[in-house]
Amino acid sequence: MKALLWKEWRETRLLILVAPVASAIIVAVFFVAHLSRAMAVPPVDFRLVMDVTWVAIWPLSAVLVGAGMLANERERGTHAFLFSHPIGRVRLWTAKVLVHVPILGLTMLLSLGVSVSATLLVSANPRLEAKSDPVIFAFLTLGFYAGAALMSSVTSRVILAIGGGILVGLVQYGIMQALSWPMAFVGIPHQDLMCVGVLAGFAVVALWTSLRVLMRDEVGSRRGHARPLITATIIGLIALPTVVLAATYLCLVRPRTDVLYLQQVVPSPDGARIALVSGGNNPVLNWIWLVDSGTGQSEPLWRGFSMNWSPDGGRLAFVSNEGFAGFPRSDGSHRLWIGDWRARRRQEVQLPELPGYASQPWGLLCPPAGETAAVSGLYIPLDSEARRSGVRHFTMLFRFGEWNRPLGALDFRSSIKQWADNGTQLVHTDHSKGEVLMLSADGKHRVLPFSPLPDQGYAIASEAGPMVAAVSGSGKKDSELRQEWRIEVLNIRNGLKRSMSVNARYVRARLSPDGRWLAIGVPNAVTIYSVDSMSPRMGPLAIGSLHEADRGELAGEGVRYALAWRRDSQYLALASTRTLRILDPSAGRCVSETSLSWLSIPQSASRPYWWPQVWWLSEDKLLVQWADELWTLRTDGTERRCIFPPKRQRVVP
Amino acid sequence: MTTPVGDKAAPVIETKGLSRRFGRHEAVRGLDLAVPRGSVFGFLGLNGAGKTTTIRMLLGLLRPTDGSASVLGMDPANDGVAIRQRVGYVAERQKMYDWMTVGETIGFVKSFYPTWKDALADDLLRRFGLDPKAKMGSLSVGMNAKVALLLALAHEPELLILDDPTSGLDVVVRREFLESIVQVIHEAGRTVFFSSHFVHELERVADWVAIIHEGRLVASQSLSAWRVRTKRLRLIFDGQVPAQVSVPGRLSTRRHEHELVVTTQSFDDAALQSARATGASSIEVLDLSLEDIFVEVVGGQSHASVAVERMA
Amino acid sequence: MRALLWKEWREKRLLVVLAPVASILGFVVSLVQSPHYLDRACSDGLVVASLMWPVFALLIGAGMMANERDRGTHPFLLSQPIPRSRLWLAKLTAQIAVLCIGMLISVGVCAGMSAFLAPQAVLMRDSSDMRLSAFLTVNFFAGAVLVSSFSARPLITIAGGLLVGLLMALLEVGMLLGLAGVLFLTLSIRHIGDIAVVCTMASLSAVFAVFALGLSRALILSDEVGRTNWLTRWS
Repeated sequence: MKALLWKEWRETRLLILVAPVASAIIVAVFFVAHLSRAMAVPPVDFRLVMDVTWVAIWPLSAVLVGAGMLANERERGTHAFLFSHPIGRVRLWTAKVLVHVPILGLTMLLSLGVSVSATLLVSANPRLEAKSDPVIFAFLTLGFYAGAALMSSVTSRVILAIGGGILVGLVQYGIMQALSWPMAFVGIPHQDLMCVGVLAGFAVVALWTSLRVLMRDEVGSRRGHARPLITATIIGLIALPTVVLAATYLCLVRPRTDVLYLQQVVPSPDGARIALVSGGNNPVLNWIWLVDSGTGQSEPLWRGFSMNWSPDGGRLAFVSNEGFAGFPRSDGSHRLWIGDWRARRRQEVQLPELPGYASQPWGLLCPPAGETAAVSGLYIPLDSEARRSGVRHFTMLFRFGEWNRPLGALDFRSSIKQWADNGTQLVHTDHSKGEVLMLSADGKHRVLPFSPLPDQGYAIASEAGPMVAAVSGSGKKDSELRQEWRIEVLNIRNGLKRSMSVNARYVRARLSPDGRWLAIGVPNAVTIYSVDSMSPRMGPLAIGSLHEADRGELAGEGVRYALAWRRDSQYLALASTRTLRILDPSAGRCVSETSLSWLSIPQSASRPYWWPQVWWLSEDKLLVQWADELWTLRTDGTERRCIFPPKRQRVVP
Repeated sequence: MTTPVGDKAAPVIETKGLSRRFGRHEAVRGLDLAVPRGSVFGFLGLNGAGKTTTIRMLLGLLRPTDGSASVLGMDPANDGVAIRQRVGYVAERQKMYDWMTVGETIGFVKSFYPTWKDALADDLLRRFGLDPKAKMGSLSVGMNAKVALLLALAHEPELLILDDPTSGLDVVVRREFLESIVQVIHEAGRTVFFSSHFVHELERVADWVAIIHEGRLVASQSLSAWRVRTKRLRLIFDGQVPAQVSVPGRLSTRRHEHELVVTTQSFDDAALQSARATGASSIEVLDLSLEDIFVEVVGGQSHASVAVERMA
Repeated sequence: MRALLWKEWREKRLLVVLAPVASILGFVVSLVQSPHYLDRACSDGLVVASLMWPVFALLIGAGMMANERDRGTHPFLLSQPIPRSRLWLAKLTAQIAVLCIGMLISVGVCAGMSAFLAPQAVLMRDSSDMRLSAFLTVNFFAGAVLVSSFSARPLITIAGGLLVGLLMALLEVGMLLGLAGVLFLTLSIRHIGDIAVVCTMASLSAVFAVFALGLSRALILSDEVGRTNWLTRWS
């Protein structure tokens, strides 16, 4: 055995130098080329060099090493000599592989070292992060080696073994790429693990087949090679991909009843049920659930996200990238769907010609009242000039259900949207220009006369009333990180504008649906202003002190809280991590106050820092999102019930 | 036609109906061989007769399509490694690793044989005049063959299989070869299976000869039996040479004006009688060398196959 | 001459198939990678397909003499009553023909596939990668031919051809740098146009290739059967 190892080593050792020397020369070529600014070559950085090395040099080295399995013995005529000695075929194969694989590893390590040191020497500011995964490419290189070894056991010409090895390696790479599309949605790091597994599987199959071919090999005859090759092809091309697809299918397609976190919660217009989107890292892991707010019964409906109720509460509109059999669509795009939750049926909506190219809907926004729906999405502009700016956003207005006739469209880089005036106006913020735009149901859009918005500004609107407010911070922070915020409120019907300013770390503004009141929340205090006079009506109401940090808040950020107006604008619910207060600005008093300290702060890692959310389900019933749990309770704090997730449903007396 | 010689030990090599087909070409058909222990077994045949294929099947390098073989009591298809450990094999113009030196080649090969004797290897090195530091690629054909023979002999094999080892060698080297083989023979219990073209030198050492033609075994018997049974009869006639002559085992007939030369492979009294019965005035019985025997047997086979075709 | 060409063709015809198949496979793999942006996938695919050419130029160029020596047919070939120059020319012609046919087939099939799949694809939107691969192909081929003229082991020939080809590329790029520097110093020309760069690199590659091929011819002409000079012994 030692003799066999020695012989292989002596014959193959020169090939160790190929990759390192090639890497060094490549670095030099890139360096010199960049110096001469020729051929549009980017400066030498580690990524570039390693990409070339991993993609080209490693596989080539591997194929050269692998071709030494049997083809060179046959071509040289020493095949008969070697086989005529009392050496077991398995031992022969093992000796070759035991020498080849370490040589491969050594050459990869050396070339890595050479590239690193050469790059450090040569480039101005070297960044040593690499784009592609070295482990995956190492296994791919192994696959190229195995392919060449397989070809080399079969053919008697070295050149063919090398060429065939390259082909087999390419096929492996292709299958891995094809499989990586379903595997991508299983989630990293499992995806990387699965890629490595697939490549290792290929390498094992190819090497084992080369062993089988070797064992059946005869001096002077080529019979007997066929069966192992056919088996290998079947396993490699059919069985292995099928197993991987089945595994990803099992991982992926079952509805996830273990909810990772709640991405979006939307109560139905009548408050009787709640639709929510449970989230994962990837859109394909989003499921839309329907929860009965009374009984707490819940079930997963469809894959999708960014969903909204139709105005009559009978249907859900949502965006999904689900394709065949629960896998994501093969082109990766998203589509708009309308689902009838009673009939458990859904239908894809054919949107009209969206602007540009490779457009897809990404978000959907329906007002609780009003008949229009806004669809926003991404597209790539057709002309190359605009294309340089990258992917763009668009927003189109439709009448709900009339998806073939857009009412109007807006096209820009960022989008924050609010409905105003009974769902007839859509208010956008365009941060690139600092403008607030309004898109009307007649298709026209206009810029609202606000002062230019800085990056941390935003616009809000009253859903039923004609008020739009813009909040902008000056950007100059004092020693306690407070800055001056200016709030302008505009009546879009008569154009009257009022403004005020607040000094705080942050400002959370909520206009009541009828536009009469403006609730301003700053750290640990909430004040309700009358929009007509812009004077405080209630508050400032203290929520907690800045230094309290016993309920999981970050020190200095204040107590976390949520604000929600009731639909008739009569009450404002203020839910903090400590108390629930119902405020009546017309009467100027707090109608009810209950403690929420019975709600435990979850220590889960999925959302270490979260803000509570609150919605009005009916006149006296509230829905509270507390981290990843949904609770219903009455405004006086009774009938507390966790209705979601199903496993954690409970009633607290 | 096989008769065991010497003691009743089991044959070293035994094949039953051994056959091998390459596509449609039948290289070896139904070979029944029995190589007695301790003999020098000559395996004669034309080029392409199937000698190398047979030897490869005996060593387990090729699998037979039909029939079975037994070498040293083991089946080559299953126990190839064990068989090759006890067999010394010299192939025709064996190509070895050019980049290794003679010494390195020896070091490489000896690790596979548990019975390798270094002293013997050194002795052979000296006797063959080989330089251990010379690269294999720089050796002449003769030196190459000597190295191959050294590798085959140095592990003291029970069975030595030689596949035309002396083709392309000059007279001197061939002599050296034969001398080394003779030495092997004189050691008790060793068997030599020798396939060669050089019939007359095989004649000098072989005591058993099998002739293979077109994949089929023609005959396998001791050399003395061959000599005794294959004779050339020269029949001289006073008058007309008869058209038909029936002599059993007739291999060939040559007609001249007044004489008929008949070669037969089963010469005995009966044959002599039928020769006399032809009415020849004088009959000469000529001994044949192995080479003549071989030419006649093989030629006769071709004639026989031609005749068979004509009759069919 | 015809007989020589026939022999070379018979030996190399499998490579004529292998090289385009590899290119086409590379094309298909990049299609698989991004099936939703077919036109970008197609143009990426063409680039990947063209990056196979340098690799196969190596394999094809290695067939100059190394595999004859390895196989032992070297003495047979050289002992024929053919002038060595004709032998070299026949081999070179066959190799170049195989390379060109392979490249044409791969370009044709890939272009056909992308025309079918994504008709509006802008195929040559960025041809610098194709230029790079053509540049590497020429250099690798010349390097492999040169090394194969004295080497006796195909594997070492391919490795050596790769390294020699890379070295040639390095030298050519270096000369371009030098030329740019000279132009800057003497004529204060800062910016060399794209076309000028392409022409310069093409002519530099041609010069180096011709030099390498000429060296290979000289080696073949002076080749002796059974000679073990330091080059053959080492390789």
